[in-house]
Amino acid sequence: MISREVTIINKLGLHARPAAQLVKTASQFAADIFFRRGNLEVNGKSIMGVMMLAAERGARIIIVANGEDENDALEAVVKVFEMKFGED
Amino acid sequence: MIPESRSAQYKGVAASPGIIIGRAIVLDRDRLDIKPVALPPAAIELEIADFNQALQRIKEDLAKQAAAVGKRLGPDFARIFEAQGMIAEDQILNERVINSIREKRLPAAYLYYQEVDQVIQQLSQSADSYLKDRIFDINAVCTRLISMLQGVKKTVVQDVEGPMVVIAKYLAPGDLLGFSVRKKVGFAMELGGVTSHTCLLAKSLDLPAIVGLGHSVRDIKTGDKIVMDGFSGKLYQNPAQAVIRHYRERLKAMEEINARLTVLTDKPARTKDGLRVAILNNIELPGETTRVLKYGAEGIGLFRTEYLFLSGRSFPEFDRQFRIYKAILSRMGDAPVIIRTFDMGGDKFVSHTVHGVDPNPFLGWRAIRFCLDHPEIFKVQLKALLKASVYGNLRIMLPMISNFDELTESKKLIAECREELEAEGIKIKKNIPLGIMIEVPSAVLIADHLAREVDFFSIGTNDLIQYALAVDRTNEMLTHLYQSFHPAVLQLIKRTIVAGHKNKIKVGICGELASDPYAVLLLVGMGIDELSTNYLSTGVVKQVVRNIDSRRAREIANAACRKKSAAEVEEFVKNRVGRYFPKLVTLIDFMRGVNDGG
Repeated sequence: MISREVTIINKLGLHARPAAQLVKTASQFAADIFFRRGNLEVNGKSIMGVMMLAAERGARIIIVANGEDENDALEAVVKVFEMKFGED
Repeated sequence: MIPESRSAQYKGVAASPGIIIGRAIVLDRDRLDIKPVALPPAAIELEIADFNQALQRIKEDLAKQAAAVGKRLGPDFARIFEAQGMIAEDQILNERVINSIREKRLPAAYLYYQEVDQVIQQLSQSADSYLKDRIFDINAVCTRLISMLQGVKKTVVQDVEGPMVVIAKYLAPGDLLGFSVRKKVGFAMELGGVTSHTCLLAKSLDLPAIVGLGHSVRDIKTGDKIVMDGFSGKLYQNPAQAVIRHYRERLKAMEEINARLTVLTDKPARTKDGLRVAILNNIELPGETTRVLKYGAEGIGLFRTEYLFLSGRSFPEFDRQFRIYKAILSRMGDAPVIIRTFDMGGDKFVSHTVHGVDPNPFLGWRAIRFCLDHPEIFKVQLKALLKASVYGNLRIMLPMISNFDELTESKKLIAECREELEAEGIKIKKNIPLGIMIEVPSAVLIADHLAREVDFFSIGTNDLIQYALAVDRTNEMLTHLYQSFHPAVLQLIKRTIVAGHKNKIKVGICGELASDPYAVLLLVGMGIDELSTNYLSTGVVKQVVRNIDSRRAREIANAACRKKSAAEVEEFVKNRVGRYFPKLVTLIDFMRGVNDGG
């Protein structure tokens, strides 16, 4: 199991479209992916889960990947965050 | 469905005109009826199959709606439905519900609601208004699913035959758009103010709406027969035959009047004594230009650019803005088009974590205040406007000016934008009229100074009333205090017109007041040059203007300004109209729904 912390840097935060993008990316991997924010942990393959994080700009999220392809999965998901979901 | 519930009459605030005789569709509250009744073992797999089938249908419905709305209003509107589609497609959530059905042996609708309620609770605690608004999307999917699973098939929009009235606690603009795919639909809400975005959209789409009905409408059930009167704000549940007959006749009369008014489309609004008043329209969406022309307005008195943010994407880029402004201007030809710069809260652009929540948004960091603090955003809009100026008769309007410096600073920015564009070799029209909204009382009091620096004033009565009377127009507890005919409001308007005319600039009105026949009489009496209304009111307002004598109207307006209360003003004006302009009474009564007798 590996994890990494990221910060939301796009203006509008994790709204529906970025959430969908994360879910789409996460779902391509066999590894389980979770996002943690404070005490809240949600499944990274569920758009409702990701939206439940209510993560606005500046929020810190810990990405956890667990499974055979966890390294590739973590890299791919982090990249989506870093690209600001193609916004701004 | 045979109505079993009672017969009753409710009164709310008329928010968008029109009459619907049809059936109720009750939203939001359906889920409260879900009870965790244990399923018999044999029913469990059936329940799961139903659940999957319902999800599938919802996805198909949403895709259809996204396509239909996209075609009609553009991709920004389609996205509202695509977002809902993604929620319905959440595999993890759906599987969790299916597992729960097997484990807990409870109905799918109940379990689904339990799951999404956690998300709703979490989002409702967010300080970010944009994220918070996603609750509406989730609710929309949830409501569809629950209605479908509970066999209340009639609550799925596509399945309802004939005219309908959607009854809900509150509808987001997105919900309204979904329903607007149908032609005969009205909206009745427990909460909300007349000038909320939802109501403005309802008006733009020509759909009747009533707001502020309160909890009482919770007795209405889906399938109840409903008569809705968007002129007076009345809603009838399972009404008597006489009421239905009365409204059928009114609908018929309305069609006749409409037919008569369209005859006026190419006639100007000129008072009996020859005073000319320009009738313009307010629009929200670029596509509405067609209706502006069709209903006979002489131009656009207000294009609200906030629509550009509807999809919730980040700041609309230069090219997209330019394309939209250009499209509107070229479609309107030589007719004037007043485009207002962004009039929204800073929270739409910059996250709360940086700036904190605005505890009092109407008095907060918004409109021109925000734009001047962020010239990098404001200048993109100004440049897009300037570049588009060569395609038509553009006038630029700045919202929420409350002091002189804001105007000076804005003018400096506009000059800067012009220089920068011209340096790139882009052609810009020479003299583009610049105007300001007069909607803050402080601006009224310094209007004389402001008038020397601009080419026109446009009085935004919705905000002017709110600021002058210290009444939050979205607070439904205060609806009765939001008094358009308050003598203080009339005096502010008059003072603005006087200051404008003294400095030889035109003064218009772009608030709700411009569509009210009695207010039109007073405004013409005060010397207003332009009235900007919703397109449906174009004919009526023209008709009102054509039936009055401006000298008599001036006497009435002057006397009205001296009254001590809104009630006194209204009584006085009605009395005078009856005495001097009897021909107007029928028309006014009709439009205001006073004469409904039901």
